[in-house]
Amino acid sequence: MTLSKIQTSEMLDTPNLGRRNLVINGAMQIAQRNLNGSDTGVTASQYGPVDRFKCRTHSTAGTLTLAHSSDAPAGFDRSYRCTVTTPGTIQTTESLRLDTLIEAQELVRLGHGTSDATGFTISFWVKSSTTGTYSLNVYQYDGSEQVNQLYTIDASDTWEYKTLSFSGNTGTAINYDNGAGFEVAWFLSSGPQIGTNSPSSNWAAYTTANYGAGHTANISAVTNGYFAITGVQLEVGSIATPFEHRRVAEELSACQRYYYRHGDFDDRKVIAQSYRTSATDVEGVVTFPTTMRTGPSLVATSGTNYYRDYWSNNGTNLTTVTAGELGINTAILRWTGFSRTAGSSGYMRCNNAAATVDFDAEM
Amino acid sequence: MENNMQITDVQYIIDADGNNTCVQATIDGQSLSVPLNPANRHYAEILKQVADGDLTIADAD
Repeated sequence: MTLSKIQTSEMLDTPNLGRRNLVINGAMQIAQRNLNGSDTGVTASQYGPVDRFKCRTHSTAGTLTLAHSSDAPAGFDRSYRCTVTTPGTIQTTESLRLDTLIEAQELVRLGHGTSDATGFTISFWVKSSTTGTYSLNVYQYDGSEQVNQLYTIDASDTWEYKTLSFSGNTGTAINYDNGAGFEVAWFLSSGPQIGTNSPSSNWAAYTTANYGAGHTANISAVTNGYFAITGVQLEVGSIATPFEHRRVAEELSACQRYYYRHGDFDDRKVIAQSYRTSATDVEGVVTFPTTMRTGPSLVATSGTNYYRDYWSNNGTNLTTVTAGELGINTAILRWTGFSRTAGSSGYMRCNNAAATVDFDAEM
Repeated sequence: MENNMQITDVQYIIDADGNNTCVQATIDGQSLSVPLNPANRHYAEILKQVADGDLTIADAD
């Protein structure tokens, strides 16, 4: 068989080639913080419930519900949905947007900062209560530059597929490090002093006047207004290929580089083997399933009897957990305020439906 | 690009040898343990607010 039969130039555009999508969890499959759930009463920026996606908002933008929604177009099972339950009046330079951050070293393949910088294409499915003109903004952290394009939602309550191609940034490189590379932001609403310039497909310095330029839709003013996305893909080149579906296990592992829910009550998961380190302290070591982006913060809920330490046929209820050390592969957890036989060991687990032990290395 | 975090009650955590290993802080109403790693977004913001004179980190107990 000649080489041309197995490797042709056409293959370069073949959608079956894998690892094209630089967006993690673009199909919104993973929601460690609240699987299939909704976060209600949201008035401040937060990650979740969907992994790797964040809602950026202000109290003036209204009260929101953020959902890991089962409403999705054909070929997808889930979407990330923002619903305005109490409308607001967004102020001056504020904005309401959904975004995802891509780690810098994953973007080096774009060749930014060189004359060979390649363009990239973002494709996604979107559905909204509100037709109109929307901005998709890409902000490059290194150099603080940005580019944006507009798209229209033509029909309300209808899934629409959008593709937007962007030029490469020949002027400013993206560092090969674990910091933030791109912020890809879907604008839902913007204040009167933001994005006032004309939209530009050329890379330019970030300013509030450039940020989300040309966006006019205003979801935050609409009672029960909503905006949902899924099938998000960012790939090298000017052609949008079909969405690259990845296995749930792969996607979960990729998400756990940035956020890892280690313990919760539902599956009675053991948090750690525990050992006494002093008259009042017990510690336990946690090993992460994947190396995290950076040393993570420990985010753990607290309350009466949230945790229970088992040792030598005894159990002791505890209220809070803190960290002794936080590395990229392991952490030491610490519970204080009780006594146990010197030198004893045991295990610790969640003991309340609201008890969770998470590690956060988001950008 | 990031909204400002509301950070209070920041205190160092030490290991058995007395070395600072983390800080305990209340961030946006949540109690977090944060590593002393500038690539961690919470610690980066703590360092920024300390540099701006808006925050101090208490010694460990």
